[in-house]
Amino acid sequence: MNNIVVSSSPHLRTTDNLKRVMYDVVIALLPAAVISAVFFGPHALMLMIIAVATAVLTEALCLKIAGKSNIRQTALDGSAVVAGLLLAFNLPPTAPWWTAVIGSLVAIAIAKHTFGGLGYNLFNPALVGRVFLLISFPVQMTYWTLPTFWQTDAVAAATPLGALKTDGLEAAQAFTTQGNFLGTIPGCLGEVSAVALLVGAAYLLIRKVITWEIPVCFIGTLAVFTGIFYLVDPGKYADPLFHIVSGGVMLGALFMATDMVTSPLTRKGQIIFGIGCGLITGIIRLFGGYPEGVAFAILLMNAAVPLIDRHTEVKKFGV
Amino acid sequence: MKLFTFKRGGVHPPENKSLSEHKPVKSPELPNRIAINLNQHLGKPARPLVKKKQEIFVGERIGEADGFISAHVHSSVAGIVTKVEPAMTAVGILADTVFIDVDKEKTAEELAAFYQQTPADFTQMTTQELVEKIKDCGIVGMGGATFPANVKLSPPPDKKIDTILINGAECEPYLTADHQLMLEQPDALLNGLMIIQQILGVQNTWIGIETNKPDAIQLLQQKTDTGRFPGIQIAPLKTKYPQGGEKQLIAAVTGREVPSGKLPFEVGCLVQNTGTAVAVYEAVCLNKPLIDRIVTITGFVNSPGNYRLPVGATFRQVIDDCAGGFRDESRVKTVINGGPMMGKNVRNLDVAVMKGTSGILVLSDTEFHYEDEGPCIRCGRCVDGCPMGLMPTKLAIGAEYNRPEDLDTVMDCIECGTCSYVCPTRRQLVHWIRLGKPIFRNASGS
Repeated sequence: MNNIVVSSSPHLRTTDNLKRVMYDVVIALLPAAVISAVFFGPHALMLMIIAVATAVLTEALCLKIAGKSNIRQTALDGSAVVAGLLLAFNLPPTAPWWTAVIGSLVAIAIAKHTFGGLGYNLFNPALVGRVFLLISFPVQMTYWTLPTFWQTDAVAAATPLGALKTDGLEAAQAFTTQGNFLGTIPGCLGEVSAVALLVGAAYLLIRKVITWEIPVCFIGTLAVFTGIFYLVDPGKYADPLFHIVSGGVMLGALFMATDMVTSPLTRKGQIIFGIGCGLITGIIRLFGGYPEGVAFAILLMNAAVPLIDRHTEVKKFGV
Repeated sequence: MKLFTFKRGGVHPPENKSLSEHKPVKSPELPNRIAINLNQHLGKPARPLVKKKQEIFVGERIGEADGFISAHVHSSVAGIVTKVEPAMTAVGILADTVFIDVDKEKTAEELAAFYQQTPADFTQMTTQELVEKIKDCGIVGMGGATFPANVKLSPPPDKKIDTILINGAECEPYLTADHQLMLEQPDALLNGLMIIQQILGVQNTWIGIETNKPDAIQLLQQKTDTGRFPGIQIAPLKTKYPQGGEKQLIAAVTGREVPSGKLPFEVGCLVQNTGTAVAVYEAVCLNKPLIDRIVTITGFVNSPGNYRLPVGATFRQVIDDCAGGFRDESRVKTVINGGPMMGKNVRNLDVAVMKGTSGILVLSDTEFHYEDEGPCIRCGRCVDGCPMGLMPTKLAIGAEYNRPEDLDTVMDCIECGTCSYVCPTRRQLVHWIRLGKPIFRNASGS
């Protein structure tokens, strides 16, 4: 009886833990991963495996350099798997294998571990990896193909947003909203099917891993912003539905902006964060040089999180 | 049925009450030796009044209240004092303790005498007499905070109390002592409340009971429906932790928020625990000091249940004699004085039952896991769960890095444990917040 534990209350804890939370995200990403592999074929599958493996190995290496114990356990806590998978989701289907390696390396080593590892990073690791690749290897990162069943030889194609930016509204209108929604439109691995992403997000909402504020405010703001321009000049601007089902909005709003480490703590803060993401995405898409603005919008809003947190503290009881 | 609840935050951990629920209160055989601590209450410990080899009787005052916020301590047994010296208590601090060799026959006789007399008629007594009796009998809040009851029942004259709230929520998982008390002693409880109403000159009392105790709600409703207890009403509460928190209970029933840093009488309320009300009745009408109480012994023991234990019985004795011992001693991980959310685990089993011991909870390696804390992943569950509207993770980090400027709301924390309970990375949030309180106090010079 000399070994009874004396510890600080409470003495019971929820059964939910970090691993469960992270692997819930992995589970939620699986439908999109499967659809991606079905449409883009073995190369897409390989990119996902390489990205995840690189992320986990980089995580382990960084933990070792930092002198942490329990390296195997921590590297496999799921957070590196999520970052790697999301990085792969941000690659074009024909991206060379080494982009997955470099992207994951940058995501984990630079975006995550230079800040102190899990919980301390300011920016979404996968998005830092994506932007790093986009700026460093613009050619490889913007070569798109048409999704076909188990694609082995690729047919070059433009994305709806690329077409909108370079060839105007008419070219973009060749893509149907329905196609965008179901997943038969060129794009990144994870962007291809909005419906698969929505199924995953519904799971996360039920499991209470994410809350509704960020996705709803993100998508809602983008729809309102692009809707205003569409109403003013429907001949020049695409309709809001086109904007919310094309490109990385679904992936970004449901899975990247909702990353708990890099989004605000309070519900009120999350609403501001979501609105900011939607607004910046709309501005970049309509007026910026890049066809897509989701990644930049989220990263910019990530930088604003400490400020948002400071000004959105919950009102305490009894004041 | 109208359901009352507090609005902000909260959590619903597994209740695990079925282990001891509805088990009638049993009185165990008296132990041979007993150890009564003199710090049974919030405030200054009592001064010892007895010496080695002194013969004492049941209910004899053995500790004298020392100062305004303090309480008398009485012997729960008859016998001979063997020593008076500091000993470890169930709340983890050293305190003067009176050790007594028990004269079992005499004790049983004297205990029975309390219940054989005709209860005194409290309606004939003055407020001062009532408060004096409560003070003389060493009554303290029995929900766990052990605040001297006579002090609470003498609010400053400029604060008008209009509502009395009785906490029968018993929102801590595992515990069933208050539930069983409501079922077995409803008349003592209601008479105790009539006494409290008389002292405060108020006829507006709400007994808050969580809906996981429907039989207690029904029984007390029937009793109050008879009209014999004017002013007393039942408030069924949603089963949600910490529904029995003082400020949460007030908010749930009256909709009033006790201002930050203030006491309930600021909003015209006074909160007492069900056990305290029964103790008040026994003190006033039977002249019986607070020398025993109902304790739930539960968890990893052979026969979990509710027991009337003398103050001073050691944990080892009562676990072995009442609850049939541990189910498997080698698998016992921790023994808690109180419930799992706010109770303190004891260092050894020689510590004694106190006036504030609502439960003795034994957890095995299947329920209790001590895990190292991970980093905050900013999931916000602690913020959503905090019933006081605080940002636990911010406060914890402020304490961890010694930053008083981040600890501005730390004194509002009621240490209910909701934040640590929900944390997926097992952050010791409440622990850090406890450490943050002195950091903030020192920095702000208060």
